[in-house]
Amino acid sequence: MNEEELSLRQQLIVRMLSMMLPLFFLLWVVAYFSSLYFINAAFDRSLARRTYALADRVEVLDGQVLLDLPVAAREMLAFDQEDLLFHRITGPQGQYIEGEMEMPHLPGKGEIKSGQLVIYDGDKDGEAVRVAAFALSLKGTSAHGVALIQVGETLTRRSALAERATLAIVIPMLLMTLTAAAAIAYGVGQGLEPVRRLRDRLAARPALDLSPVPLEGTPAELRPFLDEINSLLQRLSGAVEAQSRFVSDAAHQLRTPIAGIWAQAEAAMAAARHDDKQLALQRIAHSAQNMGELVQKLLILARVDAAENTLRLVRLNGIALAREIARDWAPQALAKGVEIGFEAAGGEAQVMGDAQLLREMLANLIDNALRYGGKRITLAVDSLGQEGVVWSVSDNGPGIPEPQYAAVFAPFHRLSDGVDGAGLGLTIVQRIARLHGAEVSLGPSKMGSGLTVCVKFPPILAESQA
Amino acid sequence: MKILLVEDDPTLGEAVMLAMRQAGFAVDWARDGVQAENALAGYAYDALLLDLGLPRRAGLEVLRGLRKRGATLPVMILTARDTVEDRVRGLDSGADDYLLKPFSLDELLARLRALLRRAHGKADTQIRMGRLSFDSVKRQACIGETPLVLSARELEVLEILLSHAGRVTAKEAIADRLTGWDEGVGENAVEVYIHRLRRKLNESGVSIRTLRGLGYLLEAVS
Repeated sequence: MNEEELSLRQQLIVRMLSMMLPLFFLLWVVAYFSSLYFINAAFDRSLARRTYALADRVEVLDGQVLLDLPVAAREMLAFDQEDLLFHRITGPQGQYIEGEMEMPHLPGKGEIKSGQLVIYDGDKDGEAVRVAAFALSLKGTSAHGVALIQVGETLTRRSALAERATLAIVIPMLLMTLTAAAAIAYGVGQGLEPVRRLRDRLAARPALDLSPVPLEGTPAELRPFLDEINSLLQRLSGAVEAQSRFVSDAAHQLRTPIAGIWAQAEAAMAAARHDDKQLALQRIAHSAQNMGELVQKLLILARVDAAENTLRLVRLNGIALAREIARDWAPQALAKGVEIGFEAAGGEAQVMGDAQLLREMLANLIDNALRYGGKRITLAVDSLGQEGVVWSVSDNGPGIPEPQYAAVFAPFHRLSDGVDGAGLGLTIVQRIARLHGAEVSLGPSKMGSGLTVCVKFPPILAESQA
Repeated sequence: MKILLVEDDPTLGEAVMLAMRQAGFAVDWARDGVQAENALAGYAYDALLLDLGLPRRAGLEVLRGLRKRGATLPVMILTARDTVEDRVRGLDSGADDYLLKPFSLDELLARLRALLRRAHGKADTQIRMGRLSFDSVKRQACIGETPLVLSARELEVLEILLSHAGRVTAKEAIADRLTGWDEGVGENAVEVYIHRLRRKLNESGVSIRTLRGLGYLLEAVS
């Protein structure tokens, strides 16, 4: 399962257990070996004692080493409850005196100093054993050198004890871990209760309730999250409001030409003279045409809004694109007696953009200049190098007084009633520019009178150059 | 010339039908997709004007069926849907032209005539503008009845301007066209040819307009 799909509770438990489990095994190993160490120490002491006790019974008679051991003691030397005990005694020349025939060899060179006790691990008949070896000095007797006394035992009890000691440590630890996991699971559930309440409250909201979510009764950790939701709701409610205002404005704007068409149609039907009829019909055609343009612009706006989520900007040649649009519009402009010119300065002018939207944007700028401008329009592309690229459309018409610059971007704003137009051109331009991270600004035209509209594109970032 | 008009809106359909009749076409009017298919099955029309949003059978379906049966008549789509994808889908389905609603009846008739001309393979060898005429087969330009004396390169420039009539011809496009004649014709050389051509077209009622930064446009002087 993916980590993001786990609930908070599952994530906490998974993380805790994944940390605890290796620790748990480490503890197990450490507990086993440390208990074994202490148990070995204790058992080794008793093994040594038994070796000394056996050494006590060694006697020398006429240079012969002998063992004087009562039968009861001999039995005690051979049996234990669980472990097998065994021993061997050898004389100064290594001759066998008593006990087992085979004994694990002494560690190292197999030599041992007189009076020394060595305890070592060995192997007897395929079983691990522990052996104590004592070199008994025979000085002062009729024999020379040392007698070697070896006592051994199997390890059954040692291991059994070590295992029991380990479990005594590990089992409580395991119980503690499981208890902690359960406590976390429960605690998280309790801690998330306010989140559940918040969810219920959000789920109960009507679709268009965009008021902020109240902060009371929510834990401090959720505040930043709720603040973001509230800020999103606020922006959303602004956008919804703007949208509904726009729809109502658009409906009003459509109502006007419809009223005109209706009235003119009735006038045409009522008109007795042929000339009056013709005039009314012309006005109807004209109004219908305006309405067509308005609807076209509304559709473009809707499309620009929709493009916001699917926009894919690509590297475009800003000069070629602008020139192509200027060429497309030139014949239409000439038909109205307006000359379109084109200028490019500063060399290559690449921009990141959506060609179709940028075409729409320039078309609207030229269309505006044709409607409201003078007899000359200049489209210019200036490359500012690191500063980006500026597209500008200038005319030599009457221009716009500076105090009105801000107002003309508002939807359905028109400067004069004398000229046809939906009042959506600059709105479209600005929306498209914004999608490209570009800025639209107005200024006096360089041609003496008139207006220049500039669209400044940001420089192309290094990472998008690939 | 008999045209089938397929349009479900009565106001628009009636207006288009009247305008076409006045322009001298015979028109049948189908109001939905099924009527359209029946009409197409029963008569060999010269052209089809097709709305897309039709009752009973969608316009594109009618069009695809028509092309599947191998019919080659020119088809113009009349529609209110204007996204690029809509256009591409329409043209891919076998339409020859695409006219967006609302449209002016003049434009509809002009585009219909152009479609019919192309369909009948009568690509005009004679291009006329003002008093100027140009025969693209004989490669001869005349002002009125008087043949115009032009160098081969001037003729080439005039031909490209005429073939772009009503549109702007880029200076680079002319330079490219002339490169076959001279090695690497510069844009300055283009200006020289335009200058000479302008002088020779003085009496023709046609002038070459220079559009700053864009190129040249051939226009009739009224």
